[in-house]
Amino acid sequence: MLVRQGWSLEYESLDTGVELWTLLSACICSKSLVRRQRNIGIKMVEESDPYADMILADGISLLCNDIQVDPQDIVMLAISWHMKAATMCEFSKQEFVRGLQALGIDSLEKFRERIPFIRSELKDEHKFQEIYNFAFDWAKEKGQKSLALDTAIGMWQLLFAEKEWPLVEHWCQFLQARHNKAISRDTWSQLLEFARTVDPALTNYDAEGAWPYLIDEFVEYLLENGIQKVQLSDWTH
Amino acid sequence: CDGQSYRLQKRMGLHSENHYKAEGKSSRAEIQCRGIYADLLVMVLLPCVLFSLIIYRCAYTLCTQMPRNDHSKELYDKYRETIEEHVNSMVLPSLKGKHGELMLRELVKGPPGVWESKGCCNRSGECCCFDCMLVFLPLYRLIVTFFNQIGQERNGEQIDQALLKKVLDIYVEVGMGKMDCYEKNFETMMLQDSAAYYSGKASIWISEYPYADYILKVEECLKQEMDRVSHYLHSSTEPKLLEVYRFVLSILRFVIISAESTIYNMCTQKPPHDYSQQLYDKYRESFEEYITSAVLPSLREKHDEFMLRELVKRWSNHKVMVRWLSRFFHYLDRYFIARRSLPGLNEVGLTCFRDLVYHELNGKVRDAVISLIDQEREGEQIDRALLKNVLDIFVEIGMGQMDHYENDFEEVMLKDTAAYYSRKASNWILEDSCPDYMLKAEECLKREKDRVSHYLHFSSEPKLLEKVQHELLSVYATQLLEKEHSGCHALLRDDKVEDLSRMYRLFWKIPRGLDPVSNIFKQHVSTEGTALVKQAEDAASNKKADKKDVVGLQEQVFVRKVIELHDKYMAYVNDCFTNHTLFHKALKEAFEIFCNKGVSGSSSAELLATFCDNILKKGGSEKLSDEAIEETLEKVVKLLAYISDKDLFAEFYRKKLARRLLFDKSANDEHERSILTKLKQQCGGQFTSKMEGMVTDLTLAKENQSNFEEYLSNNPNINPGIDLTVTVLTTGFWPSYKSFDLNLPAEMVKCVEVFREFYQTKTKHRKLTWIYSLGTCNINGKFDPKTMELIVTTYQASALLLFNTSDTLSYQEIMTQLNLSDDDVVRLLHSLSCAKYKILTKEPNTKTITPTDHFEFNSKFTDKMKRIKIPLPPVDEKKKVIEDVDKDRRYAIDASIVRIMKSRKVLGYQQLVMECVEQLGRMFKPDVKAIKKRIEDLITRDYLERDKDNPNIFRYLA
Repeated sequence: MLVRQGWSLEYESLDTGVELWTLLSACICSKSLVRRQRNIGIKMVEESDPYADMILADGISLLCNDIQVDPQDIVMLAISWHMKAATMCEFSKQEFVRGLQALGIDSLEKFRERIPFIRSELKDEHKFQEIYNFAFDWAKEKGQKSLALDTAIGMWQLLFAEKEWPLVEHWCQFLQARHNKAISRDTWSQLLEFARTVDPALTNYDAEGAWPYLIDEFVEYLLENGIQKVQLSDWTH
Repeated sequence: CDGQSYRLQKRMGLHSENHYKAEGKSSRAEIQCRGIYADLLVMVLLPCVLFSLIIYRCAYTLCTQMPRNDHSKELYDKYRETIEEHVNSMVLPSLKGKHGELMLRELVKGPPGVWESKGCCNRSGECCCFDCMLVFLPLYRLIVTFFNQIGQERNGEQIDQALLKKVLDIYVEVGMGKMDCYEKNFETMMLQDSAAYYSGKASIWISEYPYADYILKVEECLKQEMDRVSHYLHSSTEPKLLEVYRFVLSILRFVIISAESTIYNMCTQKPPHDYSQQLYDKYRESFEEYITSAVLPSLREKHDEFMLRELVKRWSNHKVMVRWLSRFFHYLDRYFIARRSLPGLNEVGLTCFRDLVYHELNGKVRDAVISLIDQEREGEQIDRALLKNVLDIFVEIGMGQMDHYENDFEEVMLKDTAAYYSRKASNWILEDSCPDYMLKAEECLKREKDRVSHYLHFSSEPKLLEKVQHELLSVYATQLLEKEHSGCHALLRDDKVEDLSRMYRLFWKIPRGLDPVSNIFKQHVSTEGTALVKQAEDAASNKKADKKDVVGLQEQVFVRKVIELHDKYMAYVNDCFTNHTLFHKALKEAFEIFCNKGVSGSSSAELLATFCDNILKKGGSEKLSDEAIEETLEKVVKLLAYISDKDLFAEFYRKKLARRLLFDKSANDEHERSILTKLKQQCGGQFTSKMEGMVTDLTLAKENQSNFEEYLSNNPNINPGIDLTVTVLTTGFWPSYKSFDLNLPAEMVKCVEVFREFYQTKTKHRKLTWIYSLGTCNINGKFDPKTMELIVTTYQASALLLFNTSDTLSYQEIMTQLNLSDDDVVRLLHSLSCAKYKILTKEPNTKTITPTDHFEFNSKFTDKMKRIKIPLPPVDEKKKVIEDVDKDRRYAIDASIVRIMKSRKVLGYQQLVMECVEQLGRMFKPDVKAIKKRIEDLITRDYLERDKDNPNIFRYLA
């Protein structure tokens, strides 16, 4: 089956162990299964299918099973970042193989063993920033310039649960109440900067600074509602 | 003979004078000829005794004639001339030719007639003679000769004392009662000469005679000098001569002591017999002794002003002494002092005075001076010359440095001044009103300035004035300016122009002194302006309740009032505040504050545009002469400078201009062009280019219309049978209008086609877009009572023409047939069926239009007029204008940001915003938030990016 799908040649050159074969076959089997089920009744060979060499949602859930990770776990984002995945819930063959190579993984066992390390990388300020910025492109709809608000809020909740920014809930509420539009890349990346540099009591916030207007308005919102004080006490606990 | 002729002249002159004075006395003598008179005068000069009587007689007759023949005046002048000529031609040459004693004799002999004429001759005759003498006499030779004579006498020779006496009498007499000439030209030099003589003599005697003999010698000299005074010197010279004499002797006493019995070797000996050092020391000691024994006691016993006088006297004496002594000891100065680089004699002399007198007394003197100054400040008369002299001592004692004046006097004086004025000011500020206080302050400053020019050193002026200004103005600036009933506010309120000018003059000199004044000015103007806004606001809300159409008028009044306010305070800035930039700025800021407030929902940009419209349109609310209109327009344009939303004004103005032009409402084409020129001058060509295009379009349209008419007459077959006027406008110049595809009635469609064909013949590449909403139609309504001409809009006409084919139409039918929006249909049906003229009857007959209504042609309609205009209320365009402006602003900001970033490539956020605001400020005041949004939008569109490391910096992406 692998040979038929044209993967074998690359794997030979990869010089990987037997277990990886198992791993991959597990994933790809399931993916092919999905493909075939979807294309039922249509005489379509695997090679002409644009998703032929892709791991899609089902494949990923199988993969998660194998490496014993919750698909909602933020570590999946970190893995995607390692894979340099272009889109959420998808890995292309190239992304997957290069990613594993870079991580030095050639067996499921090794993959499982690597998870704690990948998780620890989220604690690294610099790497977190890269992952954060990666998440924007990863999560947005292809062909769009900005990120849909719902997706963005989901991502933020995921990311800031890791990063622990006390204002994240207010931010999301504010966006839903006042903004309700897609989020630009600039706003996305500046929010992390804001979360990192401005303390939650807003004491070092500079209204004259170049913060995106959405963040300015958020600050106004906080001040209007007298929230930042409450937050301050929460934060200090 | 000379003497005789003088005497003759004198007599003749006497008569001439007597009769000159007693004009009018008659005489029978009949000599009239001027020739004879001249000849006679020539004869006067002839040294002939025999002629004297005749001449006297002639002169007498000449002077005693009837007025017209009276030659007294000529005679008088001639008399003067004669004397001058005589002095120049006879006396001076004879004096110049002689020397020494002979010269003196000649001098004494020469003009006795002149001296003797005193008392019986006219003063002017005397004067001119003396003047000539003094001017032409080789004065120095006289003096030298004189001193030679005195010197000879001192050496024991016999001289002609009577001669000297006479010469000196000349000096005294020349003064004609005053001693100036004697003192200045003779006495001073004589005293110096005496001093020099005796110091020289003494040095010789001391080496030649024993002490006792020396004393005798000295006494003998003293006696001789006394004799000299009694014999020929003027008696006033005696005390002075004695003082010099004593002084010289007192210095020389040391020589007596140190040289004891032997020789006065002075300093020319070889060491150890060189006494230079002792001499030098003694020089100082003698000053010190003189000062301690004579000067100080006399100063100590006197006080206040008397002490000052004494000090001035003593100082001037001291300076004289120093000058003399240092001359006597010149040898020391030249060799001894130069070799040892010791302080010069002159310096030592002054230092003595400084160390002994000045240091002891300067405090006392200073206090006395200051108390005098204070007395003067209180209005008393004081001796200013005295103060001047005293203060000169402070300056001179510094020997080129101002330290003593500054430290010992000026500093304390300034302190005292500060204290004095601080005391005064603290009273005045409580008692006086602001204008009175300023009057006093100005007066004080003037007087202090006066004081400096009269007796203080000029370098004190800035310091002194600074102190006074500080105490009187800086300290109380706030209190003074904010006095409740007379402060700056009150002055502005009561239009106290003069006091305001004074305030400006006073505070102008203080560093940053004008700031509070300009602030108050700004506050005042903005309060007044805000009051106007409030007033207009109130009036508008009241009127709204009563009657709607008067609101426009109210706003008109508001703009007028603002213009008046501006005129008034601009005059203040120009006159009271001498055009100072600070006040221009204050005025500008004040106007910007309230001009951008807007009245009852209308921005001031709109109000101004409406105001212009009212002036420029036919039948506007203002009736003004051409000049008044020009002037008002000029002022409106000036006001525009204070309004930040110039683009909004432009948009509103364009809308109004379009209405004026398209509906032929413009009253005067010249005024239209004139205001455009003014706007162009103030806001730049870009601002008015569209408006100018509009005006030009209209001119072109007229041409085009006549071409069209010609075209129709040339092609009668295509004439649609309806008169059609088309105004072709350039897209872009004009405000944007909705161009719905109104379904025109067939007749009109034909017109449109004909015109389009005509237009095609002119140009192939232009696209015509028809804006029916701006059109008007004249249609005939065949009502049962009579046929009437209706003036309606194209929309209304299209609707009415539908009723040519059917009697009753439903709302929906009308809407679909016309292909119009609900809004438009409601509006036009309301104007036809619910307004003043009910051309259509509506079923049901209510006041509002609903989509279920039906309409029928009202054939019963009539009116007393044959021609009626059925108005279609215009859509409220304000919102659209504001939206348009908002959109334009977004483009403008985008363009500006890109322009800036293109040239700068990398720029900080703050700077970008600043430059953007600056670039756009001419048109409007962009909101920082709006700029931020545009920046973010440009980032999204990949024109810019944030710097990776510094989010406050943006980069331009080419």
